[in-house]
Amino acid sequence: MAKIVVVTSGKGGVGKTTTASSFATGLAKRGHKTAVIDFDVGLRNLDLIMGCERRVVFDFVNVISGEANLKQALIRDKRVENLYILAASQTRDKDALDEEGVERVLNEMAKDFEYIVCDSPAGIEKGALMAMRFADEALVVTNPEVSSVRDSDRVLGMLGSKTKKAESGGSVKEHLVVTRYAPSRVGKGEMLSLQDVGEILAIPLLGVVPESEAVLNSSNSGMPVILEEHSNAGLAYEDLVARFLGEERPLRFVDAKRGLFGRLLGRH
Amino acid sequence: MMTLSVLEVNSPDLEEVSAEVSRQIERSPGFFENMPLLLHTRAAEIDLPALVAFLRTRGLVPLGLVAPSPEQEQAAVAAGLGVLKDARNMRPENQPDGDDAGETDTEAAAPAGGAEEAPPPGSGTKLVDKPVRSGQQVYARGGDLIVTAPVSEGAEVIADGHVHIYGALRGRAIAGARGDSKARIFCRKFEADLVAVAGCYKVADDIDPSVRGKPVRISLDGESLIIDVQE
Repeated sequence: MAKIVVVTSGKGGVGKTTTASSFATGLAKRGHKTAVIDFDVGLRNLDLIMGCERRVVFDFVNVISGEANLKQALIRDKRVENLYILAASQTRDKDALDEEGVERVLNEMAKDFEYIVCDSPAGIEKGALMAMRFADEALVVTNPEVSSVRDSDRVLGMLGSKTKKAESGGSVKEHLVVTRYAPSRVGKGEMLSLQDVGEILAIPLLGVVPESEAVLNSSNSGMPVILEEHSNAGLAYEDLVARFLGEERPLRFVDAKRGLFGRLLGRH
Repeated sequence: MMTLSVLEVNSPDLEEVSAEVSRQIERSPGFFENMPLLLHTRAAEIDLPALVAFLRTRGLVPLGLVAPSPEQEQAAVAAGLGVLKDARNMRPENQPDGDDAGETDTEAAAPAGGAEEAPPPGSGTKLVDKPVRSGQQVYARGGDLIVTAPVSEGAEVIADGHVHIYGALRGRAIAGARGDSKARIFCRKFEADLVAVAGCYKVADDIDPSVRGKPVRISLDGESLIIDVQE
């Protein structure tokens, strides 16, 4: 039975899709059969970041409505074995995500995969609700700034009340992922520190991804940043996946001096 | 004197009203459970028995109709409601965001004739041991509220009695929600958006910055809120 992990945040543009793509790729690289689903129906992006936009024939909504079967819609990643992508429909809207349909598709996928990563749209409406509805665990992606933290807080409330797990008396296991972290700016007081974010959200920290040009570059070239093995962001996602799978890894790239040192060594 | 909520019905369209009421209830599940309620409407043609039946299915307890027209009065009696002719205390301008049917707290005398006498006794103290997140609302009806985790910015914790927060208070805390002026708010780390006791409130801007981040006790002295640092 697969574990369903939602990547969510409330606020847009904080790095959900970047995180979902790298997280799924990282799990697959470690030999776990993984599928990543784009729930952002109407604003499909995941396929671009995964670099498979030219191979999308059928999408998630087609499978929900029975116009295609899963086998036809799942796109196999060309670089990493065990990794599959289910794209969102660009021509439909979130109303196409009916709960029974989503549940049916997830149940069918659960037979075949170890991990199903659900890339949530921004907001707290239907798309985001459906992405988290059947989750076992959640990666809550936050930027170190007040509005992002407040939105994440709201989403944490929803994870605790609107998911199947919560309704049946259980709870979704929550992990905090802080992205676009710039230690030098924290030092100047322009950004919230990890400690501030952790104190407000009060959930365990899974990983910190530093602000990095590599993220933009790799998104543009359709490659999950975790595959950029020489970038800080890529390494941070490696660590994050390792921690998720139970390994102990110290936090990196959270201290200003080290960031500078890293730059001197030619890392970006 | 006791505080009762009044449902303002401004639309004769039962479906619209039902939808709005359902929306309000879903926004804060639990808060409206078994809540006694007065009705007030200017929409003369509304189907009162159907509205009352609907409200009961949603767990509300309609008690009476405030300031009805003569026709409405008959309909109210027929629907098993009491009638309150005196509406001096009505404050419809307090309605939130121009909703079609909003909740507005108002002081009203106990409903007359045939209706239930008093709100049901409270369920007592409520304990919350998980963080209260932005957008969530917790209400301890008829008792104290104890929260052993932080209350986030944009969250609301309410009690008819005292509010105790063994964590940071960053959202809103309301004690003595039904008018108990002896109710108090306690918290370990005070960073609230708003605090209120028995209807007297202070927003963050009006609060002395020197108490921020400190453990405090908040009580009501006459008409003003006193915030004492407890170190």
